[in-house]
Amino acid sequence: MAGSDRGGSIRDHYVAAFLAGHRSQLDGALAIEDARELEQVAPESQRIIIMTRGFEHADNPRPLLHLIHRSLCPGGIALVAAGGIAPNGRTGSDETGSWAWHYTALSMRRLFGDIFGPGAVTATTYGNVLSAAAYLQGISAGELTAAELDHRDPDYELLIGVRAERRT
Amino acid sequence: MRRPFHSFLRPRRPWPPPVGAVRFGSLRRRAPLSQQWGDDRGGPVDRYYIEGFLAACRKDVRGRVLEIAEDVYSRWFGGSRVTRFDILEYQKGEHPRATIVGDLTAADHIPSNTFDCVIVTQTLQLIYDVEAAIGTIHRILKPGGVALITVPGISQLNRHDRETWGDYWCWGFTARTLERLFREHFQSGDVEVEAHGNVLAATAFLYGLGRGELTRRELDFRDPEYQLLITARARKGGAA
Repeated sequence: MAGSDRGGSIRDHYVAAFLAGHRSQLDGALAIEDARELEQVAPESQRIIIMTRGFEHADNPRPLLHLIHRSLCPGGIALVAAGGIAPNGRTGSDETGSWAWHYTALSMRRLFGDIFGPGAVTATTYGNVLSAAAYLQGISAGELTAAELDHRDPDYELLIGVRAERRT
Repeated sequence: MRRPFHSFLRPRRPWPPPVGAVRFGSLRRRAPLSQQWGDDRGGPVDRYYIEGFLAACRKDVRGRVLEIAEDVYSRWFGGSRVTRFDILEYQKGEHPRATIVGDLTAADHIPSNTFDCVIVTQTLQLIYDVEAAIGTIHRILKPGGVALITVPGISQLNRHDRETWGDYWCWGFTARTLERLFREHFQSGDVEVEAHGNVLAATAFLYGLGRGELTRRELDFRDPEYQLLITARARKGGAA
């Protein structure tokens, strides 16, 4: 990931900030990176599901969202982080590892809202022009100040953090 | 390339600069240099790619042409090859020369097999039900007709646009996805998709630099890891 070879990536900084807001709920969380990891999970068995990478790779995220919803027990929550302004994610000369979509808070709210109900979803964005450009360039989080990283500009969505609750 | 003499008088800087040695210059700010995509600095970087693509496809801009929201590109690239200019506006009254009011996702009132060319630039990212819009584009093209499509990949949003037009921006695309979506609908025709941009162009675009502030060589270099602007030329199958 951009910046990982220079100390922690800027995206990881924002993922940590997103999860820190839910620190008290993370015990026993099921962490996934792919829909296939949920296929064998029993319905209504999980109190919390976390996905901090991989959401952008799905050609169609709706089956994944259905699986997440199905796996959660009533009252359970999903914490999903997705980008956003980012490089393409390729790991080689072909499409391996590449993203399918770059999301916005709007599309994340609508996609999750379609499955969980609009009132059950909140989305928080992270980033600004400096952190977004730095992230593209592979500059690490440690090369910007905390104030520079944490300034939020809603026009520059590097990361979107979604909390979705299964109500029933 | 031979180094100029004076460069021997000081050590070369290593590349990439080590951690702590990056020189950010004018870019170490929390606000972009332009709040208007670069309109106030000689024009946005992405327009360089959009116009280059349409220029390369200008022969497709002919006959009866539909464009979204305006007819600027139809006129510029089609000229006398165009026999009729149509503009699709989302709400009545948006454009004085608009000929059709509607939404690409619900356009049953637009007859099938109507247009020789449909130009949809920087629009699909605003449509939640993208697949329905692409289905409409395919349906309303004549057999052999061509859709010329551009979409953003890496991009910022814009608060002034949101205040004016509302909050509609749903997606940034990738070449892989745009190709998949168009091939699903244009199965019997052809689809050519290309990604444009590189890390420098993407950075410049995010800051709202003007296209003239980079060289053509800097703009033209393509790095598939940095897809700033993605274009598609999709031809509907059947007799031309």
